[in-house]
Amino acid sequence: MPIKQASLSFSQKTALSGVLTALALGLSYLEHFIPLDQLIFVPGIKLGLANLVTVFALYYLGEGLAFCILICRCLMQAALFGTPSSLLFSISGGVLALSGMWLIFRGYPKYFSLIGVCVGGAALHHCGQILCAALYFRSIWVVSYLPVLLLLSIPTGCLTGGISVALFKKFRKIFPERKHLTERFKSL
Amino acid sequence: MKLFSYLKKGDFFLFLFVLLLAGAIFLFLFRPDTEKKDCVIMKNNAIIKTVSLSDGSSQEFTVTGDYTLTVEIQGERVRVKESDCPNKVCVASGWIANPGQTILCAPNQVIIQIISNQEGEVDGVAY
Repeated sequence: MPIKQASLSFSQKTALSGVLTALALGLSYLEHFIPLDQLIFVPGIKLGLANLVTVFALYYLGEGLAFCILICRCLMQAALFGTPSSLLFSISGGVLALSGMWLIFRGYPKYFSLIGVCVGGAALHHCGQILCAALYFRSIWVVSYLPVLLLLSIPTGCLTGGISVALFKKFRKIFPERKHLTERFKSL
Repeated sequence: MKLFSYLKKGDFFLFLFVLLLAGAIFLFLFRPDTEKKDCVIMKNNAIIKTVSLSDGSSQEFTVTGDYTLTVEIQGERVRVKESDCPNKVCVASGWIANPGQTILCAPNQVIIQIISNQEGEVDGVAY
């Protein structure tokens, strides 16, 4: 059975995308204040709160707008508080993560829960980032960060996945008239 | 626990895959027994040059003395390409690649030897 796409009008989608982009930008700025990398001593580790928005967009607006939101967020993040190299890393990680989550979500929604999707996304985000960094620095030793990051992607992915589950449940309650939107992942 | 009943079969496979991938990368990068081979060129019992054979590069250089030798290093193997010494035993020795193997040039008093940071496959070599 084909999954029914959310029936929002074009302008509704545009407005929602803009709001979500701003939210993602805010969340990724919020992450700066959580000193996770001083707690675990792994440079570059973060909770991936912006991934919440990506997952939400993927489920509610479809993959096309999710990609747009992701790219916009990365560009603005780099322009506001980043560097060209950080743009490279966040885009490569984000695109790989979203592609993976889209594949899992589209291909095998029966076998994976939302938490699984988020963990896969987090792991792929780190893979993309590290691969890009390895090419950028032309050094294979950057990859030695990857095992630690992959291990940590399970708890952080579970966290964002759990938040997403709660979020989607609330969304179902707040907007009962839009129940058809949530049909597509009711089995999750 | 509520979380575990929520997770599906694929999730556990995914977790396992991520853990295995992390372990595999860790083992691949930090495997302790990386063999390092060096080519040591000695003249009159003094080391005049040491070349690493592990980086896979190729080069050629000459060793001067009473006679002139041209040593060629190609990846992991070494030979004396040319020599103007009388008997040319060194050229006839051909390529050497295994730790412990040597090329001698007696007229020029040059010894080319491959050494390793590990014990070789053979206990010793007799000539």
